[in-house]
Amino acid sequence: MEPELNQAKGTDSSRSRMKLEQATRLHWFHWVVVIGSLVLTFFAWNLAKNQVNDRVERQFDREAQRVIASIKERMKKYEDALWAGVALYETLDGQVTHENWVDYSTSISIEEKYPGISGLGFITRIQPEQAEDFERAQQQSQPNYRIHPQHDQSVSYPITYIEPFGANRPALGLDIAHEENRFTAAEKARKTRSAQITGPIVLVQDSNNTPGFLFYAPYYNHDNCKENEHRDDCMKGMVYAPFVVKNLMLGTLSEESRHVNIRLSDGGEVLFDELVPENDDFDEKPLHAESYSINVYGRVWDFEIQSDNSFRMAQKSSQPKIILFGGIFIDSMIFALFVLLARANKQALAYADKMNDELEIKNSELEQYVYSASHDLKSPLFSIQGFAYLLKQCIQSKEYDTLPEYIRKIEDAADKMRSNIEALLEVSRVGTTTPELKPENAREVIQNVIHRLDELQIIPASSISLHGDATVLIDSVRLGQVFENLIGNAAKYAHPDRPLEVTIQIDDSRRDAAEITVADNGIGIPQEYRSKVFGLFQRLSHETEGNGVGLSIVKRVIESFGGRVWLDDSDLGGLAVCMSIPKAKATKPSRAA
Amino acid sequence: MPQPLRQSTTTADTILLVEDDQNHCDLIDRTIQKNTIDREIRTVHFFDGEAAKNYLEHQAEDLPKLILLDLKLPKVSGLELLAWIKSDTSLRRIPVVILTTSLAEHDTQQAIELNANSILTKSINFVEFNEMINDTITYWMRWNRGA
Repeated sequence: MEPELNQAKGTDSSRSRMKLEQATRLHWFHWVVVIGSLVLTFFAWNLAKNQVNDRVERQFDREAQRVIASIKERMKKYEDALWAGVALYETLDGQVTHENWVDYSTSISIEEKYPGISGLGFITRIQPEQAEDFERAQQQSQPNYRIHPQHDQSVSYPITYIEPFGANRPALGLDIAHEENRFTAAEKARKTRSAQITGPIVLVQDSNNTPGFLFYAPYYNHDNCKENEHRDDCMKGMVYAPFVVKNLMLGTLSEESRHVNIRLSDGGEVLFDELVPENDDFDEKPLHAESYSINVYGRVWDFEIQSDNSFRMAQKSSQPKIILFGGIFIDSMIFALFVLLARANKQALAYADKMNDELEIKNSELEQYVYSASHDLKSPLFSIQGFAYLLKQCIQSKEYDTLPEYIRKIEDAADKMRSNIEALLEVSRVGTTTPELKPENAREVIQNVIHRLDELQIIPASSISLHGDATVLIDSVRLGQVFENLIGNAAKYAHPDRPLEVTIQIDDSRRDAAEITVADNGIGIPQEYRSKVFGLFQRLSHETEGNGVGLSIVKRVIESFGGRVWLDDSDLGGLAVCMSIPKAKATKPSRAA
Repeated sequence: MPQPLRQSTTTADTILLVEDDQNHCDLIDRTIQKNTIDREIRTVHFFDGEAAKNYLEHQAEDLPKLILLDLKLPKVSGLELLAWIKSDTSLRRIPVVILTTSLAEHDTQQAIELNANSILTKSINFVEFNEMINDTITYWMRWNRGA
C-alpha cells in the first residue's frame, strides 16, 4: 500500500515539476501574444498615419482650390471693370474725352477696389496713316502725347488714356502693335469679341522689369462701320488694364491665411514664383504638390502648388508616432514581463532542486546514521550474548577458571555499547539542532580548550603552539568541541618515537573566511584513507580507544557554520586538519567615505 | 611481511577471518575450532582489510580454503577487499562468505554484484550462531567440491 502511495506522490510531484520546468521557457503562445501585439501596433500606426495623410491631402486640396478660385474670381472682377469702361464708350458713342476717362477711373476708385491692377486705360485702333492726325488730336488734352515706337504692322494700337497717370506715364502713347504678345492678344480680342490677356510681357512702366500682362476688353462701334468692312474691323479700341503679376498675386492672396506656395507660368515662362529657397515658407520636401492648368482669357496658366512650412507645422501630427512608440513600449514591457516570469520560475525551480538535493543528502546521512547505529549497537550485543552463553556452559560443566575473563568481556562490551550510544546521541545533537552563530574570537575559544586539556592532563599546553587571530561567525561551545576532538586525536595518534607537537595556525588573510589549520607530528593518515575518516563510526585502527565519531562531529559542526573541513600533510610530519570558517560580515565600508 | 595474529598447525586447512572486533573474533574462532567435520582448521585473522590484502598478496601457496569477511572494516572495507579478491585470477575461486552484524540493503546488493559466495548475518542468538558457522564450514570445507 505504502509504496503505491509513494509512487503516486512521486508522479504528482514530477508532474508539477514538469509544469514548473515548462514555465521557465517562453512558449509559442508567449510569442503569439508579443508578435500579435506588435502587428496590432503597426496596424494601428499605419491606420493613424493614413488618416493623417488623408486629412492633410484634403486640407491641401482645399487650400489649392481656394487659391485658384480667388485668382479666377479676381480676374472676373477686373473683367467687369473693363467691360464697364467699354460700356462708358458705348454710352458716349465713342466720344470719350480725356476728362471723361479721368472722371470714370476716379469714380471706380481703382486703387482701393482693384488692388493688384496697375491702371485702367484705353487703346485706340487706328490705321498707320491716321497716326499723325490722331497724335495731334490727343495733344490737345495731353500735350506730351506721342505715338511710339515705330513698327511694321498694318495697324496701330496706341495707348490713348491711362489712369492713374503718375506711375503709368511711360505707357502713354505706346503703340502696343510693336510687340508680338501685346499685338497677338489684341487681334485675338478683336476677332473673338471677348476679353483677352496677353502672354507674359514686361510693362514699360515697371522699373523692376518683372513679368506682367495686359488685360483687354474690345470696343466696337458698328454705326461708324464702313459697309465693306468686316464686323471685326469695326473694333475701335480696347479698354485695358496692365498688371504686374507679383502685385496681382499679392493683392489677391493674403499671405497669412495661406499654407501653400505657388508658381505660375504661362507657356513655360514663369510669371510668379514662390517655389524658391529664398522664400521663408518654402518647404524643400513638401508634404504635397499638385499642378493645375486653367484657361484664363485666352491663355493657359499653369499653377504648381506646393504645401509650405506653415502647412507642415499645422499638419504635423504626433499621433501615429505616439501610437507606434507607445505600442512598441507596451509590447516590450509584455515581453520583459514574460522573460521575468520565466526567470522567476527558473529561480524557483533551481531553489526547489537545491532544497531537494539538500534533503537527499540529509536523507542519506540519516540512512547512514541508522545503519551505523544498528551495526555499532548490535556488535557489543553479539559479544555479550556470546560470552554469556560461554559463561553458562562453564557453569554447567563446572569449569570456573575462565569465568572472570568472560565476565570482564561482558562488562567491556556493555561499556562499549554505552559509549557508542552516547556518541550517537552527540552526533545526533550536532546534526539536528541549528547553532546560534555569533561573531567570536577563535583564538580565545582555542586557548580555552588548550587550557582545559592541560588541566585534565590529556595534553600539556607546552606542546601546543597557537598562532594568529580571527573573529569568525560560530557557536563557541561547538567550536570548543571541535578543537577538543582534534587536539585529543593528535594526542591519541601521537608518534611513538617522538614527543607530541601540535601547531594551530589561524589565517585571517582572506576576506570572507578564516582558515584554521591543526597540524601535528603524529602517525598521520595515509592519503588513500583521508576521504573515509569523516564518515560515521569510521576508524582506521582498532588499537586505540575511540568509537569513530570524532571527525564526523568535527565535519558536522564546521558545516553547520557554513564552512568546510579537509585533511592535508603536516609540515611536522603528521596530519594537518584544515578548515575554513566564514567570518562575521563586517558592515560594508561606505563608498562615499 | 605481516604475520597472522593467530596460527594453528601448518598442515591444517586455512580459514581467513577478517574481523575488526576482538571479541567477535574470539567467539567465531572458538566455534570454528569446535567444528563437527572432524578436521583441523587453522584460522588466520586480520583486523582490517589492508592487512588481509597484504597477506593474500604474499601468500603464493597454501591459500585459505574459505574467507569469512566482515563488511565494516578499518582502512580497506569488506566490499573493497571482496572486489579485489574477485578480480584476482588466483584468488577469485576462494569462497568468500560475508559475515556481518547488520546488512543494509545496498551492502547486500553490492556484495552480490561483487560475487560474494554467501551472505550471512551474525545471529544474536549464540546457539543459532554456532549452528550457522558449523553449517558454513561443513558445507564449504566438507561437501563442496567445486571450489
